[in-house]
Amino acid sequence: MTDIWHVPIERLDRYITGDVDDPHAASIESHLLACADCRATLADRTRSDELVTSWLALERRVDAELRSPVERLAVRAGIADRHARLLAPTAALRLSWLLAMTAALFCAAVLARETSGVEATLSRLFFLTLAPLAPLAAVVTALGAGSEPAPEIARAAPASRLHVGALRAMTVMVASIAVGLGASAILPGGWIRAVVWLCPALALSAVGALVAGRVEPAMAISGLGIGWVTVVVTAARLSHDRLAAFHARPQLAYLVIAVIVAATITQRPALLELRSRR
Amino acid sequence: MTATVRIHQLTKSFRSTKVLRGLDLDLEPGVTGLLGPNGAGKTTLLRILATVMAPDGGTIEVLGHDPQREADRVAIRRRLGYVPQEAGYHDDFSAFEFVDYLAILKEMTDRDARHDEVRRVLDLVGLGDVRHKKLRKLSGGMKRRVIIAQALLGRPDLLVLDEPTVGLDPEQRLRFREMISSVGPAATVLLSTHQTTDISALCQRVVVLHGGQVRFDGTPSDLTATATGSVWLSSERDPGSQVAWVTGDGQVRNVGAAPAGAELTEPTIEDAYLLLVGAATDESDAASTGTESAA
Repeated sequence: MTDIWHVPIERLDRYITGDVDDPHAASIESHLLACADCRATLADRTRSDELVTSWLALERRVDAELRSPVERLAVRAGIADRHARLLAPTAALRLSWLLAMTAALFCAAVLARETSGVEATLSRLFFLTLAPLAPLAAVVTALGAGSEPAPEIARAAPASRLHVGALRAMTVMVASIAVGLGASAILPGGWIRAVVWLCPALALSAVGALVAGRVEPAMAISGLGIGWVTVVVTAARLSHDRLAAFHARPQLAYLVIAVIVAATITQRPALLELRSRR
Repeated sequence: MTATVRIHQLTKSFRSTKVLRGLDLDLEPGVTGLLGPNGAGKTTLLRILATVMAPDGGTIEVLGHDPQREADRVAIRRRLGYVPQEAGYHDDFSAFEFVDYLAILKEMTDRDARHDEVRRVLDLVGLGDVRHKKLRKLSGGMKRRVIIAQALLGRPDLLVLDEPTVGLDPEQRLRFREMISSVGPAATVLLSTHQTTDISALCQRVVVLHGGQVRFDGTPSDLTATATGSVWLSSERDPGSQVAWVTGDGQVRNVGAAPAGAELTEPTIEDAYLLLVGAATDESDAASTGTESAA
């Protein structure tokens, strides 16, 4: 097809270097589609190294795009994109996990809000007992068997397992505690009484982190979960106070446990990677 | 050439089973193939070399470092590429994301440089065009190539490959050979396989492991030569043979101590391997390995 008008050389050069605005670029492109002469001129004037550079830039942009919701959310929350990618395989950050946890905690909280008298105490006890289990389950699955999609390759990689594990454990803990605090806000009777599950949550998560490398995750979660429920029930039975496990002295004990276990792990990181040197 | 890997009197047991029994082996730059029946200790040796398993006894030096020490292990890992037998995948990742994930574990922090490297290795294994497909949508052979690709990240000085060609079709295996050849003469490559054809096509050196010890160490043609005069054809299975099978043209190929007057034929590396392993094991073991490598 012949065309009387051709794109001026000077404008074509600016098109090549990307110095034309979008409407002009679109107009040049529609002309190029119809005009073989201008296409030939364009090809002549485009340096091959420029082509390589722009192609590389394009590939880099396509490859840098984050496709998984977990990664996008993590980057939006201010986490570096390479750390976000390390979080992607974490089960406790999947939408299904987060939704299930949110539903369970909010239902328990609503129950505690909508009931009165003895039932109110019982449903509050239910919520306070349930809330620490969310971070426990999240931490154990983030550190236990199956948390690493390619365990054998990961073991032979130089990155510190402790750092990767800590990154995952901290992130899932922050996420599950955030959901727990959201649910606590629904509870009546002041915020201090609503967040007394925090210290047990820290203690359970810390102990969970310690056993995650030794026991199957399901075993670890159910074992520690049953242990925790036993503590709550026993404390209530012994003192004839249903919320006895959440009073000041036990709180101190939970905190001490959490600090001691966390300090032990920091001192001896190998405790976390028992599975790595079979 | 100086050895990049030195192994002396290496031992490893699982419960009461001794898998490595005082193994001695030095490796130099170049491609070394590791042959041996199942249970010979190949995977155990490769896992120890890849720093994911600790030996019970003996000394080992990898790229000038002692993998028994934590700081040395990290130094080795920085220069190591590893294809394990069972790698594991995160199916929600695309091939690109998965290799990028492993590149992050390999401490490549600069995003653009890392992504360029991930693209390079995926192009090398012929997966550049499908790199944004989810792993769950890739075939077994393609996934295997993804695992091979990650081992090439950062141009490692030591490549430890545990049966890398399992699941690859003949064309892909050919490509794999090209890939390994492209790694360069400076790298030390140790690969285990049941495919004797891979060994003759790819390796300057072959080591046969059996019962946790080195039974042969030499060039592939040296190995083949050990079977000269021990392979013969007959119309029926010869009772004197260690291993015998019917070939495509209806003749029986016998490997063992040839009887007088036997119609001797040119040995292959597979014959030599069967002869070597058959001499040291019970017959059922050798026969099962035979079918496997003949398939």
